[in-house]
Amino acid sequence: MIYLPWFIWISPIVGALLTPAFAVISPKLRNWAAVGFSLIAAVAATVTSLTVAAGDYQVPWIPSVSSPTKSAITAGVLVDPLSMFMANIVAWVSFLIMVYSVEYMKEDSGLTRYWFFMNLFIGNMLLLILADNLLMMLFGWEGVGLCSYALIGYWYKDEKEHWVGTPGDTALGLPQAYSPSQAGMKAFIFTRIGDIALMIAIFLIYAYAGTFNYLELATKVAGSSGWAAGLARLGLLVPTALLFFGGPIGKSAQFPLQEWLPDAMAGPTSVSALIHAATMVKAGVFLTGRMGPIFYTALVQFQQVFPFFATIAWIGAFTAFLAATQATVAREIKKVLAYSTVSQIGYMMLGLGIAGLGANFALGYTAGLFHLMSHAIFKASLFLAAGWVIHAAESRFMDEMGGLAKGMRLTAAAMLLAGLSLMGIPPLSGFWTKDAVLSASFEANQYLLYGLGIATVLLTGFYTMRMLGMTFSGKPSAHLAELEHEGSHVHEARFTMLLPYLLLAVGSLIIGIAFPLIDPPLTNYLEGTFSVLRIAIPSGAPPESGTLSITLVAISVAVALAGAALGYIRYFNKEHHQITKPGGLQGFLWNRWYVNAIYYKIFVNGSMRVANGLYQYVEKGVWDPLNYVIARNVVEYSKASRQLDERVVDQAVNDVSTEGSRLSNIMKRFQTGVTQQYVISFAIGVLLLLAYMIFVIGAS
Amino acid sequence: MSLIDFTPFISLAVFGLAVTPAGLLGEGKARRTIAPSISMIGLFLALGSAIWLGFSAAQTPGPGAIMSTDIFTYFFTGVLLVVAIFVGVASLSFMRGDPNEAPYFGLLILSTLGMIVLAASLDLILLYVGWELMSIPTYALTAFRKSDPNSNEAAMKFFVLSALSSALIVYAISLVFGISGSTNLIAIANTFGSITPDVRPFGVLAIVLFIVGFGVKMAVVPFHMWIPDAFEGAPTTIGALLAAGAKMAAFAAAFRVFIIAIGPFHVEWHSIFAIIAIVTMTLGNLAALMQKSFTRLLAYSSIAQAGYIMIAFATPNGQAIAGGLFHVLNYSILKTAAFIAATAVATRLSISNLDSFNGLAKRMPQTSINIAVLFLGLAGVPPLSGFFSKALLFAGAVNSSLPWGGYLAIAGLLNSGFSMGYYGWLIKRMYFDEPSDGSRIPEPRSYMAVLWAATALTIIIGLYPQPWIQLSQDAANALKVLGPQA
Repeated sequence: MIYLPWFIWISPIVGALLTPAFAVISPKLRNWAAVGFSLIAAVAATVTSLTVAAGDYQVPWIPSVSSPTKSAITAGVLVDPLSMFMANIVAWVSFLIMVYSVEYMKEDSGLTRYWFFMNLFIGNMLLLILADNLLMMLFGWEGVGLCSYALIGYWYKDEKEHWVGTPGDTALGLPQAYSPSQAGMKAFIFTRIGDIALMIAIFLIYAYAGTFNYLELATKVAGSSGWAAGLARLGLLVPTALLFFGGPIGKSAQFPLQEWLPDAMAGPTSVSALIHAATMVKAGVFLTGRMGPIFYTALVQFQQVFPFFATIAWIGAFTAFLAATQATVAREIKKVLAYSTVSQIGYMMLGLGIAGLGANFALGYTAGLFHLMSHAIFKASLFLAAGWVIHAAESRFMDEMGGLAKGMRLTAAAMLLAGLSLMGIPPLSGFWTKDAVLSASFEANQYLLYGLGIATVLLTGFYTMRMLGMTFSGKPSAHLAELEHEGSHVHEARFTMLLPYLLLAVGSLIIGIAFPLIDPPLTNYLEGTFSVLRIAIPSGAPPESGTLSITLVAISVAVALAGAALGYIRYFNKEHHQITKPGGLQGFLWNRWYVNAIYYKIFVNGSMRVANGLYQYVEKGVWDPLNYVIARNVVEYSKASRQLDERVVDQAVNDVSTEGSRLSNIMKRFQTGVTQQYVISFAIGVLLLLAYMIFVIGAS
Repeated sequence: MSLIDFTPFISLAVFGLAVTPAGLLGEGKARRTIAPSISMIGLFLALGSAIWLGFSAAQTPGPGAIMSTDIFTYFFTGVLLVVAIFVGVASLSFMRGDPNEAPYFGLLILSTLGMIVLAASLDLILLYVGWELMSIPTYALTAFRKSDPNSNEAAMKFFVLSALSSALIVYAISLVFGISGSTNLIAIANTFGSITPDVRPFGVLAIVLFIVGFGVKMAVVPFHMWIPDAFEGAPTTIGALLAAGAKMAAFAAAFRVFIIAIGPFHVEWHSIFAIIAIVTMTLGNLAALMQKSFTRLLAYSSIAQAGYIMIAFATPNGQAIAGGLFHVLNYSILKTAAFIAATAVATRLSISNLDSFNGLAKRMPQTSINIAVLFLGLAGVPPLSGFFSKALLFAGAVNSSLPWGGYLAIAGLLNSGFSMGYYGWLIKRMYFDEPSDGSRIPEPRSYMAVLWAATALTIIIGLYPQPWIQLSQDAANALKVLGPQA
């Protein structure tokens, strides 16, 4: 049974590789085989978590790097509560989305590519989760990035209907609508920025710890000979931790790298649900959760806990607020959900940050991870339902929908349930987990963070009701009336599509109702992660006072209801008018606080300009003119000598003239300057090197 | 040490000399196949014997040896022969029907012989002989399309600059001989450790001249300018030989000279390599981004890659040198194959215009998937081979006791990330853009054989890097053991 944990991530990858072969046999087989492999992964994950003992299941990989200070690099799967918790969520949600995809994508061409990348994604995501060391984790990390890029740009022909954003919309003079292939590129580059920071941090840690393995990192962290002490001596400990956190910021779309996620909605909705809501964007949260306790132990020795965890918490809380404000004005239903995803991940980060700021590490830690679980469930449900809504209404804009509830009762019910969970209304799962994050931040005495979180609750209530109201209630829009007129009625989704999101929505409800029962055992289970890592984490928090916790719950529910009421009054049972670009504060929110446009102005246009400038002025500009002066003199000289040639020699020796002009043609060729320039650049190079040796190193 | 240990060299010398006259024999079809087959036999014999000898007969050379048969020699011999075989196999298609096929193959093999002699030499005189033996055939090969003015112009530029670099190397050798009284690298190392102040300036001058002389072939900034012109003008298969073969052989020579002979010289010359490394990788990547032509893009990317390998000289500890050697191995495979891919595309499309790569995935599916993997490998995306060699290099730099190690690693990482800009953009063009003409283009079997072999190696090395890293470390140790024992 020892290979069972390996099976979890390998089976979807095998499935991906077999997809082209199945496609040759029959398209049907290809589709269902792909779903089958994702089911195998899900079952393997569950069986592993129930039967396999926690531990590190290793095989040798690169033993030759071992030395007295470095351990051999091994490949392995780490089975511990955290990895099993994540693997089960990811594998089962993925499986449901794969089932949905069969029907949702059926009329598309290029499905072999779709199934290939979907399964490859699931395999890489599970690898990321299950890897027992940072190097393998990085493989999965880059793998999911690649699949994300390929699937956002899935409709690579860039037809207008697959663009994201309002056509013709601009901010600061830059177009704000993106084609799928552009959006894919954007996502890839944005996440890479974080990845570079992450890689620098990983190599710095490796340089001092001599290992990539999580368990070894945990055992070698403490003490005066630990790697944390090595880094701290150079003042690098906090910078390394922050650089490491750069990766999660990019992957989980947190400020300041949040801008790629809203545009990633250019991909198919099933992809948005899988990658950009339920799983990949959680990778950053997971990795922060994975290394969080280790960094905590590292930092606590040097009283440097605060800067790192405060950064996480503040970035999380600020992102939660920032994205929620943008969701209140969005026009596309998927963009509302995308902003909301960014915002909710902000809560998870807030929870993980609070872990290090409060007296009880486990409190914020489990709160963040629980919210990850409940968000994965309700947000996948919302996305999948939205996919059907977009399909039925033949538009991605909410102002072209309205009154859809009549035609699709079950979809509306699923979205309502999941929406209530998102808002944090009891007894749905979102209520418990969001409240846990907020309570943890209050109890850690971080009142400002708590305030930001509560403000976000208000906004969340508002934009969720706005979305539900504009989509399902009121009279059908002109666009829908026209569709009706053409004879296409809005109707309910087919069973295989309906089932996944209905199940997820009901799951959110059931987990919510049962939450008081499953909370203590699950908390205990997750806290087992610390004992697998063999690090001591401060628990034994001050006991929660009953009145305080009830007051906090009452506040957050009241605020959520207030937001919801505002949204209800403003958007339910109203006529829909086309949303045009608003002005004032709304315009500011609509333009995403101008962050996106400013990034494009500075980084995209700027680096093109710098690269162009360097090429033009340094490569072509500095060397060339410098050389040209000298080259011209040579040419002048050769002209003069040629005249001498022609006047004196040619007249005397007519016979040679044909030969002579041939020769001079050859000479001209390499007197045009280019070759001389190169030789001169050479000479300058030699002089620079000599000057450096003499003046800088002082070698003379 | 017996004659058997020199089998790769002897085999290349015999077959290289035999190919051209043999090409005159026979008639008709036989005449066309005889030269390529003889040269392939020679190359495979050499590669086979190099691998076998590397495992069974590698030994540390004794004092006074002018040619070494250690792991380092066989490592480079193997790498360079793989490059030559890739170029040779691709040339089967490329040169088909050319009346001068036999001399082409003859020159190819003789140039390869020069490269492996360069890698093996422990004596500056032999090193210079190897250098010229490598260079002279490549001048003729660059100008091989006699009637093509671009080919001629490229060859002329290449010749002038190359001759200059040879001259500087000879000058450097004479200075070193003047200081140390020997041309043997190990003997030089012994005297360079205790050099008197009055001759120190000559030592410094010799270092500078060596850097410039080798730098031309290694294509480091600012001695890189001929590279884009020459690669564009030369036949593309020869572009591969220059970009991977000649360049890596120059690195082999530089490793021998700088790590063994100059190593003990107590002037802090490593920082100069750190500067060159950073400038080279940055300028190469920036310029690559601006290119409109595929071969020029490859040329600038090869300049950037040279910058990464230079890190091994700037922080010469065991790990960084092993990383540098591992990167030599990966780079050679990747870059040769990338040029062969260019050759495959060039039969029908203009490689001087990147627009012709739009939608290439539909027109040349095999070529496109290979280019995509090779480019990702060059960019260092895990789990492909380039990732591990860069990781080893950068880790070596970070672990170095020299103060610029960390900066080098960071510059390298930033550059690797930046290079995704143009590698990724080309992949996007091939897969996501629409071709202006959707017709399929034939993909000759010999090109595809090379491409698939290279792609397979890239993936295999990436997934199971252990034996290759071990090999690079053994080679690095074999090199260091000859140098100063600090």
